[in-house]
Amino acid sequence: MNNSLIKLIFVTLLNKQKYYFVKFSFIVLILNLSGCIKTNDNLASLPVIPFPQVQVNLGKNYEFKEYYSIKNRQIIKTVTNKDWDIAFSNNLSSKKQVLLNYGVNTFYQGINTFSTNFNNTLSILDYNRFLNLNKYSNYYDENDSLFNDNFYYESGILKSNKFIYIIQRGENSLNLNWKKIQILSFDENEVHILISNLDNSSRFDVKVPLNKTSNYTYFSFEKNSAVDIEPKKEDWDIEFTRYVQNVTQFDITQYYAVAGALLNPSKNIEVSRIENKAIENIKLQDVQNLNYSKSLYEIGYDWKNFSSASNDGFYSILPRVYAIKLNNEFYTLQFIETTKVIGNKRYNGYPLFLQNNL
Amino acid sequence: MFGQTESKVFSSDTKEAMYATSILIYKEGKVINMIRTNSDGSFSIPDDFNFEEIEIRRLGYEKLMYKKNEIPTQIYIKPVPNAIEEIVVTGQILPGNKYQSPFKLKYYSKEEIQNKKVHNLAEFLQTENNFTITQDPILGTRVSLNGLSGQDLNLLIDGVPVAGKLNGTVDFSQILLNNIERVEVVDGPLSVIYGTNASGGVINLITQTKVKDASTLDANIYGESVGVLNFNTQFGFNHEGNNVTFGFGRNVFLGWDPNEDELRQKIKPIWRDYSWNPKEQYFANLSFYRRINSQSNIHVKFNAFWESILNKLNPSSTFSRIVFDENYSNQRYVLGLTHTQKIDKSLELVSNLNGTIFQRTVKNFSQNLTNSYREILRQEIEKQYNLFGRAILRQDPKQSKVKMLYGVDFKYDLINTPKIESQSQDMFEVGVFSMINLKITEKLFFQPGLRFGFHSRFLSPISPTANFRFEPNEIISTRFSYSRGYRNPDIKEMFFEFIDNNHNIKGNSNLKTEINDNFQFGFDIKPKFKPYSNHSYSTSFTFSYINKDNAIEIVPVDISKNEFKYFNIGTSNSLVFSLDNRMKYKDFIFSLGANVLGNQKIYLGVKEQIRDFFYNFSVNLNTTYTIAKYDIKLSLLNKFNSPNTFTLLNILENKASTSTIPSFMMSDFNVSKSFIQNKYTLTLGVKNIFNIENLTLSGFNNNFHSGNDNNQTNFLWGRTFFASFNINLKE
Repeated sequence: MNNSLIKLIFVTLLNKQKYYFVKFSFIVLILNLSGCIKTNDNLASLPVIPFPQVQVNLGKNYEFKEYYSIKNRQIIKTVTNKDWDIAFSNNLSSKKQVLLNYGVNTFYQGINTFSTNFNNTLSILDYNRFLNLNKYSNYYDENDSLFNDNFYYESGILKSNKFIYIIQRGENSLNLNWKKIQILSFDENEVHILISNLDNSSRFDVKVPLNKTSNYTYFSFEKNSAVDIEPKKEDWDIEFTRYVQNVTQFDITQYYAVAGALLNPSKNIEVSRIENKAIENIKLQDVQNLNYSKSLYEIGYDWKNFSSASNDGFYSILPRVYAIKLNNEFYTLQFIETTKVIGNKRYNGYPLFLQNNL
Repeated sequence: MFGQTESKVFSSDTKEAMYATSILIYKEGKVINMIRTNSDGSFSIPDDFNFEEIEIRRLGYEKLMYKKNEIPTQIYIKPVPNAIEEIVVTGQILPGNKYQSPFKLKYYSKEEIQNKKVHNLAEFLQTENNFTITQDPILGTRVSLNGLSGQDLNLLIDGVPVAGKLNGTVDFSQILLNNIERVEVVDGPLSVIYGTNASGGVINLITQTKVKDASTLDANIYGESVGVLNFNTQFGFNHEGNNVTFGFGRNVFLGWDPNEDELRQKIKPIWRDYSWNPKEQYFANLSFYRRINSQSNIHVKFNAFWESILNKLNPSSTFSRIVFDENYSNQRYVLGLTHTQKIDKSLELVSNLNGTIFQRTVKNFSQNLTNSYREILRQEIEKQYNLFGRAILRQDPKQSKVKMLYGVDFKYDLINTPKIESQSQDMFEVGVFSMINLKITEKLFFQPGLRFGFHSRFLSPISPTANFRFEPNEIISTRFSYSRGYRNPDIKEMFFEFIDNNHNIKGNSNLKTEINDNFQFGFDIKPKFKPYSNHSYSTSFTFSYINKDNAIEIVPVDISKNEFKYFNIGTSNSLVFSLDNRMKYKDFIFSLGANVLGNQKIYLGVKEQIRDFFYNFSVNLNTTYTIAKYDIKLSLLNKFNSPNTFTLLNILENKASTSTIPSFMMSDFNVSKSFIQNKYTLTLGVKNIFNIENLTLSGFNNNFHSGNDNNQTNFLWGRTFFASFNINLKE
């Protein structure tokens, strides 16, 4: 502002005859002095992304899961979560013989009726009768135990109690989403099962041949047959998926559907967490002597937090690096995004991470 | 030849010449003549006139007396704080002195508002007893009175309810004080006159109507170290009885975070998520008042308000290339018309018609950090329409012991938003009410009242009130009142539906009307002091018992699904003891208040109840010292709040739990210096001297949103320094 303008303003302010002029001068002056809220952030320089990025695609509604090979730094297979319902272990000494779909939502769960007569019809009321006994079954959490009561070993041979299970397939409104299942036998080559709707309609007696190349053989109630879900067990290291886990939030612990990374149970893979250290500064010698965990959900879901109370469920990512020891080779991995803008809309379910091979 | 005594009378406050001031001329203690000052404040008395003393008398100013030979050539008279201004209108049959009101009524003059150097109603109430202020970064500032939530408080401007609510209550930081002449607070239900939402109390803001001078300009620029820059300008002119005021302004807040320095270092590539979001407000108001004839006048006003709050979020990680922002913009347009008609000497009809449009727009943006490209991702618009009308007939027959008020009002609300059932809902309410003031004896007044209502969605309750005022002498006045107030559930409480990944909030169409019974006992003491006394004192004590039935609250139904719902949760009881003192001694003015509040909540159908009353107290002391010689005024505002424990519903465990806000002390200090006959005023000050920032709640947390689990609540933004420059010109 030049001196003559200042002089003009003060002269007019003090001059009674020019009040009307003063008023407008003053307003213009004040408006010009007012600051603005900066909406755009113009960054002169952004940190260079130091390592290759890997984009995971879990879908707009977490409908997919993806299998990832660390060594090849590559997603090797994408499958749809709803394409399978139940899976059978290809290893008779496995701690979990049967899995229940853990990728759809928390309503995907089951109960053991402890009855063995498959001819008896059931209803949702029977499920509700046992509601406090509803359970999950997955390969990453040993505490999940829906099918544990069904199996026992007799002279080293796996036997089935042939209990009938009611499975709630992710929703609780339609009878179609409910199935009952009985496992008649389980040996190293095949699993013999009976499945039907609760009222015994759509009853199938199926012998499912086990696929020895993968950890589990996946089965679809829609197709009443085995489906191709898991790649060869040697080919993948991490499964990116939505999964159900017991989580403590709001001071209570209960099952939530979370999205994250699970490790291949048949691989010699271990993980350690490095907090608040830049991934580009982590060298081989920094990770060799860390304490590593064999937990299959050591990477898990909690590398992200809700970013803002108002922000409609989007996340911010913790500045955490995962050191991975795979067959005595070391890698570092850091998530950098979890959302993606697709067609003017923002979605969770698209983790993006960096991986460095040390 | 005899000369004459010549003198001029000015206001010590504004330095204006005081036209038409009475000069009473005394001899032997008796008034023997009276003259009035001329337009330039001057008067003269011939020296040969036989008198002993004169008294300068003007309503609202201190009286002054001078002996004949001691009359100065320039006389400065001081305004009496809260003298003329204590004429109140809220809840009155006729405008009257607040000490004649049967209700507990607090009054704040324009001078008191200006002394605080605050800009909105939330900041103003922060240092007042009985009020608790809480902040929400998205929904704004909420106020509770005597432990009753903002929904129980009816916020009025010139007696008309303010429309445009978020989460059941108006954001008090949207209510700006730039054209407010005074604030009146009734501490107790006034549903008889003001209907729903007046069950806890009423805050009535009275705007400037008349312009006393030919033209005026009031402009203010204000800067605060936290990043506040405000300006406002108000013009007024009075041309042949047409009183026009026009004002506009802009308030800017750049955002604040208690850990800003640390976060800037820690969060890469950029930190941008303030806990107090940047905010920008624009406002404009236009008012036209004129007397149509000796029997009637008309007042038309238009207010426009725009607000934009920017919630910037941090990048997801150091290597993020895209950031996301949310923008909340609120717009409120109000058009009001008031017509006053004297029907005869004892009858007056006051009619209001008021329309409000409120719009809230929520936008989500993405921004590419590499090229600053911004893209809108989502936009959601909520529109609220409100039409309000009221007609009041006042009857004050001369020499009658009965004054009467009859009224009828209606309110129509329409909300359009994707977040309510069917996306559009409306409500309609009509009320008929009456209040009568009976002078039973010279010392005893009785003021009963009754309201009947019709509501399009509820059976509206009958709202009665009975008030007694007993004045044993001129100094002491006691009052006892019973009032029943009510609050109808609003549209959102009934039909809200907000379900996404992070929210699951549902309305409840079966909600019942809240009923509020309030018993109040109090007394006011206002000793008489001599006209030229340099001190005065008044005190007021009130005890209230408030019982609220069918209290509506939002409670968690299923925390695992983040599901919340509105319910009539039960009963709440409050005990309030409050003491207000105003003292003036020479150039000091003290306002000392103390408030003790006990609160109990009994939840319906809950096994483990907490039946204890939890007590908290607050004490405030506001002091003003004026150095008239140098036109300097010093103000110190203090308020101490004790720890505040309250009951919450823990629905998961089906029990009542408690949460506690820790104690804190609020103190502000400012010094003002006026220049050139008070045309220019510079104020410097410090706010929140004890540097109170976010407070940590202890105990059970019914947190609404999932991200925040550390029980921190935004409260104040720490110690700040401010400067304000005011221009006040008159012709």
